[in-house]
Amino acid sequence: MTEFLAGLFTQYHASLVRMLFRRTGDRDRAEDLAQEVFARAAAAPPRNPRPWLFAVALNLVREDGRKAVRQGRRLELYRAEEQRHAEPPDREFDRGDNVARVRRALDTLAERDREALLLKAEGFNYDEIAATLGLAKGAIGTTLSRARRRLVEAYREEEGRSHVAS
Amino acid sequence: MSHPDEGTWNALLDGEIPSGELAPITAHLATCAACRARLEEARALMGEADQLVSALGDPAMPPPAAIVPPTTTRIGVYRQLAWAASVVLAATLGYSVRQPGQPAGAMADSSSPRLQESPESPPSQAGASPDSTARLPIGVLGNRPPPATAPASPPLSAAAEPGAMVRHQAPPAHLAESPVTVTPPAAQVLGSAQRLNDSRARGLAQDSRTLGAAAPSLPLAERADAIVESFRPIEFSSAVTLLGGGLRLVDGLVPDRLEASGSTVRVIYPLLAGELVLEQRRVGDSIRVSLRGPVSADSLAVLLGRVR
Repeated sequence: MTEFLAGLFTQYHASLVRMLFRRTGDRDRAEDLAQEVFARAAAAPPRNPRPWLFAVALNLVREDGRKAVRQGRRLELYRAEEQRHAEPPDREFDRGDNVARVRRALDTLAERDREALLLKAEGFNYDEIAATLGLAKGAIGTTLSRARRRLVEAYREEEGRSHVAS
Repeated sequence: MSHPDEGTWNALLDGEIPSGELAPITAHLATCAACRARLEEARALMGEADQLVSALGDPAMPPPAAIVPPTTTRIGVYRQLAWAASVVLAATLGYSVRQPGQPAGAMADSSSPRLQESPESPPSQAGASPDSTARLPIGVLGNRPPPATAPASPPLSAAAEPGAMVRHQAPPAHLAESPVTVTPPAAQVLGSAQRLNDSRARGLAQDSRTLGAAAPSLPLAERADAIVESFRPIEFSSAVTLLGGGLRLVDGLVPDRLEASGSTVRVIYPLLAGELVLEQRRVGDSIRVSLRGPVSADSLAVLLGRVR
């Protein structure tokens, strides 16, 4: 691995995997996609690595989603996480249940809004979000505002549904 | 000025409004209660959304002990989100400390603003007891720091003499023109601070020997009491106005409260082991910040990189 690529990996791999994991809910898939991104970076080293890496990653997620729809395959959107610490069964259930609610809420967002929110969570500033998503910088504030509001509202709706069901 | 829209409030909270455009916004905030309310609402939504995204987890991290879902009661939201944030933060910091040799974990893209020598020493700045509180060197954030490689720990020089300056690394261009002040590395500060008996004042421990400032005339505990007493709670919008816009926050954390004394604002975040205090004040076109809390110097460095 070249020094440049090693530097990219050290700097961005964990953040990329985390963003992909939050986007897909699948740790293995997140790792696979991240590997693909770095493989492409090795083939064509980017000048502006951070937006490039994350843009490629998000494109791969979209392509993967479209492929799955064409093949009629149902995507597994959420898989239980490995437990490193023993937790009481009811607490474990509550945590997994809540994560599923958050994920369902996140899925209600428009694709660009969801991506902007996940990039912001990785510490991207507005310039970087705009460069990654191909949006105007002036639109990012509104995009994030909409995304945040929609996520919170959708989560509250999910919470309300779970309270009614229980 | 007409009422700013939600996108503007979010940009303000994200620290993305150019300094030249802050004055009319802050002036408007000072006179418009409705906009202050909208700003508070935007901040609450931002905090909730951040917590929800964090709740999705990090494949590199152990799961938090519990996730407290946000409630619809505003006060309850802040308290519960602050608690959840402290759990996530504790896990995050624990990971960062345990595995320093691996690619950075939850803070992968955070990096400390790079600091430059300056002939000007800051006023009394942090010390910390070896096993309680650390304080980072002061940085001045004129604009958002660009992403950078995680800085390697600078080799520790001999114990800093009073007034000694330490060069860490060359600053990025956007900071070069801003006045920046550096104090001795936090690791050195950790070894020389004094512990205070007062538990509240512990977070404010100062070590004038390390910092080279003139020794204050009062004993540490009394100085800390005086410092604590001079800060008063303020509203978020007042903090923004006091700083002329550009209130800095630690990305990903939900503050418990804001306090101010004179032109200095403190944003206080609850942690499991105490409080993380982000102190800031406007210096010319920039906001000068310092960060202290009951965590290691490495963790503070990471957190400082997340100040936006």
